[in-house]
Amino acid sequence: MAPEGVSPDPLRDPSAAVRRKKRGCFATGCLTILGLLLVVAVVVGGLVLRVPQQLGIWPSGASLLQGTPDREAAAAILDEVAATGVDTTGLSLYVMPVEGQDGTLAYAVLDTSAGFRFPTGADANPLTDLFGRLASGSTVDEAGIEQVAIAYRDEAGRTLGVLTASTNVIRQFVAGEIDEAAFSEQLRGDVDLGAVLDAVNAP
Amino acid sequence: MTSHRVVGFLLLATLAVGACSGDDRQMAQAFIQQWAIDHADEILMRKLGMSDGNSYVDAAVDAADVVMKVQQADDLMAKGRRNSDPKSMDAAMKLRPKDWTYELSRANLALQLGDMKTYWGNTNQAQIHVSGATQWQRLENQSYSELLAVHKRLDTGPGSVSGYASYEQCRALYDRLAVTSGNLAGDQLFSDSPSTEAKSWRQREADCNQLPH
Repeated sequence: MAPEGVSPDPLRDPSAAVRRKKRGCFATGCLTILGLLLVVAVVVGGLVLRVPQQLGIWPSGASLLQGTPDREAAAAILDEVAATGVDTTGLSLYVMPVEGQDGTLAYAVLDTSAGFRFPTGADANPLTDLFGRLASGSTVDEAGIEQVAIAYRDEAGRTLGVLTASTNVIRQFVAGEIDEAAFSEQLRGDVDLGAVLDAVNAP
Repeated sequence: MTSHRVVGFLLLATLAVGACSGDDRQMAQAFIQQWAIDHADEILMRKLGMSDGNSYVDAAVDAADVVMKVQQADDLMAKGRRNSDPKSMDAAMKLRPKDWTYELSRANLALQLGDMKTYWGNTNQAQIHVSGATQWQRLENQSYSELLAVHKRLDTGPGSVSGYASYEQCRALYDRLAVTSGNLAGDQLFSDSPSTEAKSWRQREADCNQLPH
């Protein structure tokens, strides 16, 4: 051991070198920690950028929608929605088969930047109300629609998010078997947090 | 969950700033915000590309790019149909390679242009990609309507085949018109008593024998 007040000489006292080495970066070595952080960053970045889906390692949702859209059904449903008093300007609808499933997906885009406006004067929540209208016409059953999705675009044309529910759940909501909170709980989807925050803060 | 709290905090903070004035647009946005707060963990999962195992939901969440491509492809195909433009149609089919409505239109344009290899190839592909009785019915409707348009462009009157580039083109058009009109009229396969329309197309088909083959 070195005398008190004198730095230990690592050449003569190897344990001193070990002690000094263990002092920083949680006693494992800074390079190891940095390396681990780098690996975590790469993995998270890769997941966020959907690299596994692009490389075909994980299936992406988009790969399930390669079939031919049912354009006739989409046009018929839009007519039915229009007949309930909704101005369909800025509202586009796609009915698409989902690979591996017997049913289809109805995907509506509400594009405020293209002139979409919710019907005014309704007491109900305009978004849940529209879910009900999209899932209620006779064409929905004929076209085998099992899932309805609504993508909402703001005045700048950015997609704030997409919310989706099964046709059965929407019909339960429309029939009053579940309330709006329960319906919201059953909704699935994704939201662009940045766009939502911008939209909220917009004048 | 930490992520849940962070996202929830961010959204709650901004909700206060952007308090809604009560119109429907803002009600909808507020609903989306509230949903995001309540489902922050799910949003995080989606951002990381993870699935909850429901393929309908996976498809819906990832549909934005698909829909954009469908829009672009539909525009290109409409241009191709309007202008008899194979390049626009091919570009549309590159964007949506399994769309049988495109393949059928491309096949019928090829028939009009006398490109029989492309005609047969796309006809086969369309029949591979169509499924279910409803889609078959739509295929027959689209096919007949497009074939009538092709006939209108090429026909030079009964007994005349001067508008056709080849015997094969002539035969293929009238055979398809006869089969499709028969299917739409509910004729049985190889029926001894085909519909009047199918019979008249078969008569025109016989005129094709005037062409060298």
